Amino acid sequence: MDIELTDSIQITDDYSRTLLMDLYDKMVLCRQFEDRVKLLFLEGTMPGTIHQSQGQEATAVGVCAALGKDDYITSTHRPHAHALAKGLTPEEMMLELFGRATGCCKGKGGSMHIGNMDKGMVPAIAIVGGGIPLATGMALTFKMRQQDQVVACFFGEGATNEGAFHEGVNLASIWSLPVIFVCENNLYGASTAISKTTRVPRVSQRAASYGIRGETIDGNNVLKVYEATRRAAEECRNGQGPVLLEMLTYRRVGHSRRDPAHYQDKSEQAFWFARDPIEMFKNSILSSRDITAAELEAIEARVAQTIEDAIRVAREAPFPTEDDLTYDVFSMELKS
Amino acid sequence: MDIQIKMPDLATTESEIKIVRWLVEIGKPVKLGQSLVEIETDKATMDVESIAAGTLTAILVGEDETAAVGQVIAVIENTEQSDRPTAPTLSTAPAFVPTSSEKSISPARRPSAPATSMFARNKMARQGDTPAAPSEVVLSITERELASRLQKSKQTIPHFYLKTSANAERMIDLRRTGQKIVWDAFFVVAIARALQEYSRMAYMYDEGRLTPVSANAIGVAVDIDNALYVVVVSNPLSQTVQQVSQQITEKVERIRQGDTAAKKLVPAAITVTNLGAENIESFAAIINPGESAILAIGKIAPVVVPVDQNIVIQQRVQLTLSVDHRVANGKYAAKFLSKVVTEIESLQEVSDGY
Repeated sequence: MDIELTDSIQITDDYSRTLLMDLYDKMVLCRQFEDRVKLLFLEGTMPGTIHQSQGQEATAVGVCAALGKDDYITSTHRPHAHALAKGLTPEEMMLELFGRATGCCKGKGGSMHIGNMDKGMVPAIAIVGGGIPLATGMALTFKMRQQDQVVACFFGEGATNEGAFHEGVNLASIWSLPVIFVCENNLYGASTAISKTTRVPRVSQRAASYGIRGETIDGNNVLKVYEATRRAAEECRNGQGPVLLEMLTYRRVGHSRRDPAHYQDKSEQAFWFARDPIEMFKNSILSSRDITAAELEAIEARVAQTIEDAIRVAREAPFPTEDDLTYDVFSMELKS
Repeated sequence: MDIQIKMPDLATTESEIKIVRWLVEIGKPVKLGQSLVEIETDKATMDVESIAAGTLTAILVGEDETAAVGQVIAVIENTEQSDRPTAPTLSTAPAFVPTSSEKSISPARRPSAPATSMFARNKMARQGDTPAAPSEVVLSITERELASRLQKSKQTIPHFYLKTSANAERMIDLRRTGQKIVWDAFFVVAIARALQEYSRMAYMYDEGRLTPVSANAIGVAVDIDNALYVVVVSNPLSQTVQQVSQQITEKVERIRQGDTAAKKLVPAAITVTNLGAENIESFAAIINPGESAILAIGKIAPVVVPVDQNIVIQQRVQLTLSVDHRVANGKYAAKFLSKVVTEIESLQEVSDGY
């Protein structure tokens, strides 16, 4: 059950150059987007608190790269990387974070409810564990309509002690629904270490109690995440779902912007920071494939420019008006 | 271009945020995302990263001072020419942080105290620096903490009050003979001695149980520069009145000099509070949460009293004991207060081991 956490990534010739470049591009996008949002928050122009995902890029990008365009994801209070990985643009997201009417949720969702159904992302659900029964419900729809889709449901290890986890996973299990339960185990539920709340050493062990397959993966190795998700998606499409994937990863930042993460042990931080998902992947592709540092720098510069463009647009976009207040609240529009 | 660095919204409540230390010196270069300043919020200390690259040209809020969210705390001269992010200037940035009603403060005109403190405001008003119109006052972290503690005390502790007076002439005599002794020191010693007999007054109420107060200590409430603190005298029984007096004076001095350790709230059994110097005859105080009672001391004044069939004029002090009724009943507390009075009236020579 235990896995080895290596600091190099094995890259075989099976992976296309395009895939590798895409994975790098997306992970850099996630990191730069979050770093830039942090500065906007500090500058005082970005409203609200923000839960950021620096350090967890490989789980978001690896999972979404293994899904099809028609497949769905559900997300959490820490949704930015999931959204970018599923194909939302930095612009529609930045607009949303700034609360503008042209954002992906018309400026009414903000950071914790970001999403775009057209791109396969249910607006994020900030209630811990709240997405789990919802994903099960979506998967039930796919099954009843005999559609070939799957839903990947992201949640943290803290959610696995919620009642919703038990109910959602159990129901998906007895009906063999096409859900990939993706537990991003970053070791802390807000500030509480998982060892203080959970006696089993691996979240994936809990799969056994639902009679489904569980697997623990190095969540900072984007290719391991990608492979595991591909296998799980295939099983789901073959009627062998659901699957529980536990991805070991680590936050490089606090739970929210107001949290300096003093509870993270220094030696633990050093171990995980040295296993940065982007740096590990970068070093590995540079050393094993005909990819040059200049090419990767070009990606980084392009991503940075895209984000700056998105911020410029977002700063000038209109806010929702008072008239927008009652729209999108009920499924039917209210007539005054 | 000058970039104004504002205090970010990093507190969990709307309190002010303290600057612990600046991590970059004025005139030194700053990188984007580099740790610029260490701050202390209501919940934690943390580093704040720079939102701009360039040179730090001004620090507007010094170490140990506080700033409101959105207040400009430093200026960085942006020398970077690339398209990398730079903070927008005030005029173009829609601000989401609550802006205070203060005028924006230029480095040259910065007042010496936090702009939102009521006293700084009054001072500025007296100097003719701000319009006299009253406006909202944001309390500092310490003021807020105190406000919530006192509210909790008054709302959750069933207070009752015992009023009496004591002959103050013993104290006056002792002050004449010895070195200068602060009045509170006599009461600290008297209470400590009375607690030996009435030990229940050294308990606190805790969810249906009485637990002994952890510290063998008596508190003294002091007002320093318009802020309320409780200095604590530890092990008062093993000390003379003079030593207790010295301990109080030293601790007050340390607070005055900004020693944060001395400002920290530490537990005591009972606190003494004294408005005699303010010409108050008597008053009833609010119990410091975690304690059983508080003794409020009024001014010492000459009173006509019958003594042995004669009418004499005697210096007397008014005492009011506020008691947590969950800890003690009226009779017990009354006996305790009588014992305090006896102790005050029968204090021995300062040199005699008191």
